[in-house]
Amino acid sequence: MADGVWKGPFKITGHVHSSDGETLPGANVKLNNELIAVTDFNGDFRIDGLKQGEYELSFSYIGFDSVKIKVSLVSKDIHLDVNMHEKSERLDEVIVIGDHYKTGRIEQSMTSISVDENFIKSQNSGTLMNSIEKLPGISSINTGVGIAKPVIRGMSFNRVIVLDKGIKQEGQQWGADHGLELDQYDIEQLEIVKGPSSLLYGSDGIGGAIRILPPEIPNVEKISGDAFLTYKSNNDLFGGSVKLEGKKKNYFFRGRVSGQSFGDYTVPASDFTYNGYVLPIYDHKLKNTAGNEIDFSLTGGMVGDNFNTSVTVSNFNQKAGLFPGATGIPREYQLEPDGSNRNIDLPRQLINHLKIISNSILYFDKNWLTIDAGYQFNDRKEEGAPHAHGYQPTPDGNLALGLKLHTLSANVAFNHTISEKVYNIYGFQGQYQENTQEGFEFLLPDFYSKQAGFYAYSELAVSNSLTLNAGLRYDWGNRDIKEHIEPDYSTIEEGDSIVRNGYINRNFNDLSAALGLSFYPSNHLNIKANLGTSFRMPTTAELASNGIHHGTFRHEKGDSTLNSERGIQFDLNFTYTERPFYFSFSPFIGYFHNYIYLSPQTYFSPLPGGGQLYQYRQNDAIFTGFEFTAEWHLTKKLLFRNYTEFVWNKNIDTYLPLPFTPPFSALGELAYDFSAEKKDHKYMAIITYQYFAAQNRVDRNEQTTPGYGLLSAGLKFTYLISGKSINFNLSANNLLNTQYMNHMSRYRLLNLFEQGRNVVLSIQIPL
Amino acid sequence: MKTTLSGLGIILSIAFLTFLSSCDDNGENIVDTEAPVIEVEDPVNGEYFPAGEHVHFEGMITDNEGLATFNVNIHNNFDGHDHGRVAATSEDPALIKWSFDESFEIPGNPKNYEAHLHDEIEIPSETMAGPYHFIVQAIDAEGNSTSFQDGSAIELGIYITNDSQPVVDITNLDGDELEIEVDEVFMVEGEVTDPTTGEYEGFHSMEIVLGEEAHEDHDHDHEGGRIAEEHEPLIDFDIEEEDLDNYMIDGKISLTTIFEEIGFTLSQEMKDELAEEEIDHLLLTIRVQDEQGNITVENTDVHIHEE
Repeated sequence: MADGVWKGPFKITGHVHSSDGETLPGANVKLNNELIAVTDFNGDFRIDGLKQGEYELSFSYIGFDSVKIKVSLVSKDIHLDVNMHEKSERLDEVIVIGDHYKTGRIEQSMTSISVDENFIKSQNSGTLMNSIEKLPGISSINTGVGIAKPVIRGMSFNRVIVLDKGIKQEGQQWGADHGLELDQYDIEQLEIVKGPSSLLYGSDGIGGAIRILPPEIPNVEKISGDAFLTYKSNNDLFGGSVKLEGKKKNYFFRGRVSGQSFGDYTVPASDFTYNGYVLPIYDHKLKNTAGNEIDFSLTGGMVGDNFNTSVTVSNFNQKAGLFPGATGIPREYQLEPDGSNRNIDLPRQLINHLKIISNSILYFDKNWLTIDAGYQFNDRKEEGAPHAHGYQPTPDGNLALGLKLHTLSANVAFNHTISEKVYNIYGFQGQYQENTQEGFEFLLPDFYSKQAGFYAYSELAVSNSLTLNAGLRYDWGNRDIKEHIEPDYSTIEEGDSIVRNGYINRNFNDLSAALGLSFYPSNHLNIKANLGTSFRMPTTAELASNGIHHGTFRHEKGDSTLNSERGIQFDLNFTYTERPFYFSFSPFIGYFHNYIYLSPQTYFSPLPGGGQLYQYRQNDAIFTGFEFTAEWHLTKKLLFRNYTEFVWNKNIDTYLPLPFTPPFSALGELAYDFSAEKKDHKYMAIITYQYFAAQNRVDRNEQTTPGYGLLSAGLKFTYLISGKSINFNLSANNLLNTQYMNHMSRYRLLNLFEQGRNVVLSIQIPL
Repeated sequence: MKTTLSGLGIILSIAFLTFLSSCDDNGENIVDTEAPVIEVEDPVNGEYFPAGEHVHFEGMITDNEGLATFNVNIHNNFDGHDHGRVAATSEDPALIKWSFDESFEIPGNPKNYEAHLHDEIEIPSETMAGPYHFIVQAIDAEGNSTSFQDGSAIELGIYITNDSQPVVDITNLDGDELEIEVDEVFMVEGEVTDPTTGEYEGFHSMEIVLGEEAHEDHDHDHEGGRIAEEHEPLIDFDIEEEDLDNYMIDGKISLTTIFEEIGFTLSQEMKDELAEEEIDHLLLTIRVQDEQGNITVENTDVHIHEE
């Protein structure tokens, strides 16, 4: 190639065609994740100057399932005949085989879903989590429209790991009203791993992991990009995102700026009932649920002879209003319109999340080393009017809870190909955290936290149809939590003080292991089985918090004697594919030892107005459930899809379910492709109905939530103009304006309804 | 093959669900998740308590299994349930916005507990007069708690009075109520006086609301001086400090002048609408805040005159 990266004597040539035999000109050809060629008018391509070694080629063409092929160049050139199948509109069409860039092939025995940029943009919800929550096994805990946190199989908070370019996202995940600080438009490919994920990612991998994969290295020697614009009728949301990327010689860059601004959201109700009062909702607008978000990211990198490396700086900034009374008891006078649907009054959250991530990969013949390092600064401010009642003097300012969390992370993994049949990974992960607190509502003390883990993973290809894997990991962690003392204003004596939490210094040691297999009894059937342990060190909130949590408005108290939470989980996955059918069934069962939860106590908080005291405790718990996916091409043009998910869990001590358990849900979707035979455009109509059962299995003092069904419909248009696509999307969510409450919403506690009909329009154009 | 497989999947799922529901039957029926029930006999909504005296609490707390504790919380409601009212800008530092928060253990975990608090809740004599919230919550021995979400925690509105708060004197009462007649201007005669002298003498703001009286259509007993929130009031008249002078005669607020200006007349149409809802009484609320921060709320029944 022109930039002299490849210097060997070999070449790979090939011909790309559809399964009907039609040649495919303009298909993208990637070599080890880098776009290296485009097929010519005859569907042919040629890559020269290659050295001996293992290569992975991937082929993509709009409207077709992408194809990945591994080749081994030993002593002669290779010619490939690439047969591409038309896309079945299945989400997981891109099953990441041997994702060299990161973790190798470990997910082969675990249930995972891959989602690309197009899927996220076509869902186009207010947050990343809301855009993927439709997928089986995935849900989110929401606070209004802009704040959502991930839930996998009913596990949330610190039980789900989110990895952005290999670095674990750290942003006070313990809080129910603390959303995921990620720009949903800055995600090009994402993989969700369901099941125990501690082996590769360490503490917190209980429910699973959401991996945001680094975007592919940009096109050869040119600058390109795209712009995305969207409008949503329900809350008058305007959003947009612009991306530019380019490559010159061995260097490349990528930059993105995104933003959205939205008003109060509309509900199909004019009142709600709370505290025995019927309270008004003026103009069907939930007051002060407006928000805005501005994010950017910038990547610079270099592709060398035997390495590539990049640095990404990104920043997420959000200001989100909370419904008045969300941090107390809603009162009628607070609900009167304030003259604007777009202002963001108290109470509100101001979140800034800065990240600097460096990713490097070094190739040594058949082996490679990945090094990821990251610095994150999560700056959280929860603002509210100071409470007038209480013995303390009314504090100055509106900052109720301010938390500043700095996190340094480093991951190193060596991918070692021992033979054609055996492949190993040895890895190290380390993390250091520092947290400081401010604000008039003390909850979480200042702390330092350190973690380090080592792991080894091995994969054995027993035969063409059977792969086994096994892994072992050791972790050490330390939580060093400062004492917090504050003056006592309840006594007349000067100088009296209250110790909110004492000094805590705890060490944790954890061993985890996993064992898995992937078996193809036939070309159509794949069976995966995985048995794994996972662990989670208690968070500082669980060890030391002691105060009224502004966001949940209750007194939450830690327990410094808590131990690590450990789980053992068994997962199965059956996938059957034979055109026109696709079925996937994934049952799972798990047992937790020392599961940590907030337990309601039999006494009231000593803090004035604090209500019932909730203290962290730990007990054993079991959880089980399944996900089911079916796809059926009724005709070549008409696809039926079903997603079904179910989670069941129980706290063995209380014999009660765990809180925030998603209800059973089933989704049915019909997609009709009414494109003409030409390949330069695509028209699609989709109608979706999602049913959510009532959630009657609730924890103590948690309310049951009635069931509901939501109908939505959409149109998608894609035009291909000189190799680039323009996408239009028009959809209507909650088409019937159904009045419902979401069991997983923070506003469920206020008996508030969710968004009514929402017409969403979006366009994506290449630049 | 595919039918076998999907059939197997369905059978497995059904077996699985049956297994889980049987677990539930064995497990959760024995778990007590029922919250206590609170019935408050005293105080009642809208009751007046003079500063320096005691708030008496009499009530019955019951639980299906056994009670653990109850909590009484009293705090001011000066920012107002009724309408968006901003707290007074000037406040007499000699007065306090009193609050009370205390939990009381219920020994022996009984199923029924008669709560009597006679001496425990003393209102300090320097308490600022006005509307206060009186809240009772309870927790049983399992940790099940009453909640605001389902209205099982009890919240009442009470008034604390003192000697320095504004005094509303209505002079055209018929017995203890006012009369309103169709096609006649609704008149309230009388005056509002402030007993305070010195730095904090005078009034801060005033609000007059005539509307339907809240009746017992919810879990709570909202009787005794609350305008229903679901309906637009017939009169909603706000007077800010700078406009109060227009209604002052000899340092007193003249109700007569105010009602002349409001000039509200009940039409036959309005009366018919009210009659349809079987309403023969309205409620007049006069709310006056003085420069000390004291709030006086005077509720008067208004009888709709029959021909």
